[in-house]
Amino acid sequence: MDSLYLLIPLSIVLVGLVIVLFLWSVRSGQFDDLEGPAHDILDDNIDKQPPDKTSSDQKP
Amino acid sequence: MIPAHTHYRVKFDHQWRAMCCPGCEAVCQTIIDIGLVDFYRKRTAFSSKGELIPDELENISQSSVSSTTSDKENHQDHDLILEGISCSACIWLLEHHLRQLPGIITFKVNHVTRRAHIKSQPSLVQLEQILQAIQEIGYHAYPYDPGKQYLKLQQERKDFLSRLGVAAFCGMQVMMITLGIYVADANEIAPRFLNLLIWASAFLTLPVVFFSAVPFFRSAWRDIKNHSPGMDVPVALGVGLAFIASLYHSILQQGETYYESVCMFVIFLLLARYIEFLTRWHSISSSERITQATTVTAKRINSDGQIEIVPAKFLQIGDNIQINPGAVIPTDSIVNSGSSYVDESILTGENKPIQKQIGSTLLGGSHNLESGLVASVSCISENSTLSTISRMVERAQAEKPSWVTLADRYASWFVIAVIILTGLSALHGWWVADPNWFSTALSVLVVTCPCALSLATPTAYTATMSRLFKQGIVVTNGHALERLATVNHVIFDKTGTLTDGAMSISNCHLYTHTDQQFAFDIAATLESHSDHPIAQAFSQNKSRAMLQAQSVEHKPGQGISGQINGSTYYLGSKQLMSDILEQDTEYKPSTMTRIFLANESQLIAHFDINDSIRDGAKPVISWLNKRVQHISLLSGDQHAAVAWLAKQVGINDYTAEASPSEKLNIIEQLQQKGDSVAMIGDGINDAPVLAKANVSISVSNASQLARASSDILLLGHDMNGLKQIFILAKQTKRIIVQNMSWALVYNIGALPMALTGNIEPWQAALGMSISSLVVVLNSFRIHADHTAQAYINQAIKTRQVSNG
Repeated sequence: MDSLYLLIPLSIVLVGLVIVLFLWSVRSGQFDDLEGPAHDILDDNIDKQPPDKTSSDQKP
Repeated sequence: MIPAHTHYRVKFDHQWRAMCCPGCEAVCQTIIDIGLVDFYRKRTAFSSKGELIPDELENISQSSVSSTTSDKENHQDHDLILEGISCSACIWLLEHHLRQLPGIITFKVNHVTRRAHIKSQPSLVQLEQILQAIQEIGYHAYPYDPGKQYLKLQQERKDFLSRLGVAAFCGMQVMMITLGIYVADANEIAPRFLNLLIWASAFLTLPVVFFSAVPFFRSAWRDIKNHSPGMDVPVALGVGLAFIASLYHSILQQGETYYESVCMFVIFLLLARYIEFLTRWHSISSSERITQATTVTAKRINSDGQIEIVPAKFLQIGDNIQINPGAVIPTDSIVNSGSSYVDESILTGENKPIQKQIGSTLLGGSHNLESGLVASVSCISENSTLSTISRMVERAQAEKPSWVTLADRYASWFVIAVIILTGLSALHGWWVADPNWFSTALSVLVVTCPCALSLATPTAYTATMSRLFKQGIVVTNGHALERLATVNHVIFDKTGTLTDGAMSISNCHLYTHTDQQFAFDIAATLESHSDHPIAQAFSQNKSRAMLQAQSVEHKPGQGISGQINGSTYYLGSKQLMSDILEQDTEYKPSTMTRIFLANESQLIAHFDINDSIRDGAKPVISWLNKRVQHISLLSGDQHAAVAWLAKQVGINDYTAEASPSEKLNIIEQLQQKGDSVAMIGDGINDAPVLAKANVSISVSNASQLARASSDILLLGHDMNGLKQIFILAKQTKRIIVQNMSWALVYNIGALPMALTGNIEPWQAALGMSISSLVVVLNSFRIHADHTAQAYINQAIKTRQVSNG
């Protein structure tokens, strides 16, 4: 059970690390636009279509 | 939506699609040509109408390049406000279209705020080209300076998020540790481990108290300094006392600790506040968008007599500017000719219009009320116009705290009662030597905290405002929603409100042997001095010969007169004609708006102005007819035209040929009778009427004056938004009553239980936080309905279109 003396402080250190990471992500603007990235995923698939069309138009 | 006689069309997906106007046709063709046709498959909402001639914007794009850019080594940064975005497909279209331009390094649109940030290489692409590219596909973009307000709100949001996150991470750890202690039997955990666990919780609670809870302490301190205890006082007391007592017990190594209660209390309260902040943020950024987007432009009179529209900030000292009635005075200036009344209330708070004559000083940002003025610019400090913009935003927001303070005032008495009660219960417990006296007092303090009561009204209003904003309706005055729920008389204006306001001349009849073009030219020259919707009809027929009008005089509600080539011409209503010609000519009644042109002695011509009925006007009126006691139409137009329109849209009670003062009288009489009046109008002639009504709603295309003086702005073209406003006002009232009763029932019900020591501090914290969350989430229902309903509406619309 003495391992608790190591593990509990360790968990506190980990929480500290998580908090530092979280604060960094908030300050660097990761949470500024929560809607956009969801749409970006969809957009990339469709993105490939327009060049296909233009190339097929040019062939004939 | 699409007129039957359409001949604008675009081929897309092997089908010819009808377009409503050349503007939309050009936009659609551009989108197809650049290979972004997927936009039409992706979009979930219809786009706004395209425009062929981007009037004011064109001028801005030519000259404002340097103003909003910050040069760096190899690239420029621009911030743009985008208008016309209706769904995420629009953003997709914009981003893809612009990235095709050479020289664009990044172009990113924020989905939430609808602002774009551009990085570009100035050697390859200029801002005006970017703006033009945006216009080509049917959107409007305005360069803007990310205002202090916006940055402040963005900062506040990050702040909230950081505090909430820290509280959540630490709180979870503390609760995990405490759960172990709770589950274990009395002596199951060895004292040295128990001690370790308690000190670990104490350590983890530190950031919650000294970082996350700081706003509560700060505002509690402010409240105490101002001698008006708000709901933060018991919160701060609860958090502070519980933490100090826990530390004390931890050091003594006996007695209870409340670390988990402290964390839970802070987490839930922050969560409730954060949700409240988000809804508020939406409505604030919407009103800011409006004021930023209505770029202040000026009509500059060039040396050749031509009038050019330029952004106000490009005026030079000594420039002559024309200021039409209803317009905002673009910058500080001195009157050269004309006289008028000016409303300076937005700058000085003085409500009475002030008369301005030759030589008087005009303040930038005030409103010209009566007739046109020509003035020379005396001050080009950007402050004059910029301060107006921020003032308008501030005013819109300043309205909000008034109902927040109303709720806080009740809460203030409640707080004092709570603190006295807590003190008494602690004293009593101590007196009778109750071992739990501290935890009982703490429970009383926390459980009765009137947070829910304080949140009841503001959350409901902000949720409503934010939902309305999503539908293109901006509420600039929080009280308006409250008053709207009691409105029993709705008055509509005619031109530009029930009708489109997009005027065209359908017929010209000459009384004398004059050249038709000459009559047009004179009318167009006179109307170029007016901002009335009718004037638009003439601006479409650009006059061939450049004529100059002098000593132009406006007769509000009647017409306009001026000297051209030495003789005086009058353009206006039938009434104006009989006044100046002093004879009654027989006129044929017309269903269209008819305006007359005359010189001093005789009639020259009349023009029939065609104006179609606004989308959604008819269904809205028939819907309102069932709900509101009285609907009337109040117009300055001729009898026949008003009667025809009233019959078309289904209004039985109408008044025609009413002058602005008569309109004002009618509203005053109704209000004396005890009616609560909502006025829906578009500006110039009814600006004072809008201000007089209990609730004023201005429609799209409204003059800047109307926008500034009305409580609610409809941005979209569709009248159906009006229906939403009425439904939501009623719903909001209902939700506020629910919130209030819930908060009161909870607080009064929990008090006796806490006083008798039946509630532990952690239960109290949970109860009070849940009570606040219930209120916030109940208000949020206003929001939630919207998404589902909008989706259904959209589905129905899409089906109708695909069937049709």
